[in-house]
Amino acid sequence: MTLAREETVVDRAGAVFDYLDQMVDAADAPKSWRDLLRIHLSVGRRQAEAAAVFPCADLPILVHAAITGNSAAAVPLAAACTLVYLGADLFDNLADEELPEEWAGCSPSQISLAAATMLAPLPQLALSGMGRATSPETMLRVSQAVAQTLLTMGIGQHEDLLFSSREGLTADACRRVAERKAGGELAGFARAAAVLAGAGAEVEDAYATFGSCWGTASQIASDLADVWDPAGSNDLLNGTRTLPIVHAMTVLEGAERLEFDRLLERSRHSSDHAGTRTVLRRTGSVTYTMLVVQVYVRRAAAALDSAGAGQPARGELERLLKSGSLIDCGD
Amino acid sequence: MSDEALMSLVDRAISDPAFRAKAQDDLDGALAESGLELSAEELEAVRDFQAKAQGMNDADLSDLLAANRRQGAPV
Repeated sequence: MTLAREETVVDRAGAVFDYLDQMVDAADAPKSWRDLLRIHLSVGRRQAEAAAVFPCADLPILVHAAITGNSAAAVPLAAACTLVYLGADLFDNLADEELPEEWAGCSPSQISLAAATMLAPLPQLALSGMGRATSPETMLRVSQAVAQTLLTMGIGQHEDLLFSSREGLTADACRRVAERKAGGELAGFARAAAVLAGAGAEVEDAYATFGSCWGTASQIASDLADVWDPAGSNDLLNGTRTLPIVHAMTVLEGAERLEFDRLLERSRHSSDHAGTRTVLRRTGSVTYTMLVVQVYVRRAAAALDSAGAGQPARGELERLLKSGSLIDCGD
Repeated sequence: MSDEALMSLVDRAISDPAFRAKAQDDLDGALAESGLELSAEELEAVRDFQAKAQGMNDADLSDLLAANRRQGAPV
């Protein structure tokens, strides 16, 4: 199957979730186990259908198609990447007490079991669906790339946990955390797809850079959008220090900085975050954060250019990149 | 691909309030004083960004970020 020009995010994600549903159905396991896994698969499918972009499925399929013109051969890899994303997402949901309603009535132990299963055995099972058309050497390298992605994500998460409690936070350090966490995840998915497509080392690196910059831009843009959530910012409620907040902390001095610290502390106990938004506009933190996103978007576009990505997948990757770039996103 | 000068411009704008103010009023002058050399394309991108960001009111910003929450990549 070649990539059709009219193929959409929903089509790609639909193919991946159909593959995962069949894989879970075929597992030699009790129905209750399959039902447990289906809960978060249905959450993921809902998320993909509502979003304009679903990178864990879109990125491997489109990178493979940009190199080979074929998208169907990357569905098992995209399924493995989607499991990695969903497993990590579920652990995040559990830790932050932000579980989707589908998990109502389930114990933390059941939820942890589902997340661990999505991160450990299922990605390998999904990759085994690449079949005999894939050489053992390529299979091994794709497996290594997925495992390395999991390792990088774990290290990024570890740094993120340490980050907010550190003294002397800088905007530069904040950017590095986003690069390692979200950037590392998408870099690994893109690299695995390039390996599967049989690309050379330089092309692999270019796609990994594309993924890294896209993931970093998306994370930083999402962190800014979170502060403007009308229902209240989860990051402010959790005391998470994201780039716009750290920028304002860097800019403010003396009494203004002390007042901002007090405002951040109050933000942990109220969903009214209008005062924090006002400070972020006044300190130029919004403009700064948007400009940083633009720099990463430019880097991603340049990497795609140097990879020599083929059409129509290239046009779709460029469109998805711009959909979260703040300046270019819109209805 | 070398956009380190562009990121350096961003970094300098955080750490140096005088540079930030100067860059907002006179980008070419601020760059000349700093020794940062942007390509013509980067300069155009920064100017384009400045024009869009400075012309944005609170309602525009809220709309833009709401669109990002709907359309941005789940990360």
